[in-house]
Amino acid sequence: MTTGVAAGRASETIEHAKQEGKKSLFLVLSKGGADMAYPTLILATTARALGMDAHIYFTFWGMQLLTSEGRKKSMDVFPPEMQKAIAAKFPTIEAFMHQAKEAGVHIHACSPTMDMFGLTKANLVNEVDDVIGASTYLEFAARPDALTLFI
Amino acid sequence: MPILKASQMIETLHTGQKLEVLADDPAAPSDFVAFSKRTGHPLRENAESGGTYRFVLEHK
Repeated sequence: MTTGVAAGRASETIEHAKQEGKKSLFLVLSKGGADMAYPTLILATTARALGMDAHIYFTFWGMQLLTSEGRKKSMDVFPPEMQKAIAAKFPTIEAFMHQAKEAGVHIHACSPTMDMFGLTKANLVNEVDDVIGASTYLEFAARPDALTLFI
Repeated sequence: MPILKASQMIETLHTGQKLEVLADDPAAPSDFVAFSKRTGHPLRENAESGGTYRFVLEHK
């Protein structure tokens, strides 16, 4: 087995996370392309699979992924042949968002971005849990058990 | 996404029941070790043969 070293490293990292008490994952998704959305959704759903609490805060271009139109456009970042390869391996962004939601990932929309883009809650897909500002996000993310990543 | 599928399936089992998973993702061995550590479901088997990875998880 050549994967023993990687396995050892991963379990050390997880052990470390346990000691530090990292039990929540807070992702900020600031980009609207599927190349950013897939890794975000994979991390968030995997965190749920590992029993962690998972949140995604969609902001700026990331908010496009919370509209039906923006989701369709998100795949344009990939050339057609790559779109096919992704479709063979992963669900669509729309289906993946739905799965994430079913798995218990919390979906937060950014309030100032909605103002900027002239969006209302009626324009957003129904997976959105709430519309929050930076202070509320920081209040969540400042928890000592939180691991935060900006994408 | 073997971990996601495995995590959904194992929740449908009861204590002591086993789940066999076959995967082609080279990252799966370390992912399953991490999954087992984090969730407490023991990983009873972890083997590779001809590019196919086989895992057996036992519901805790």
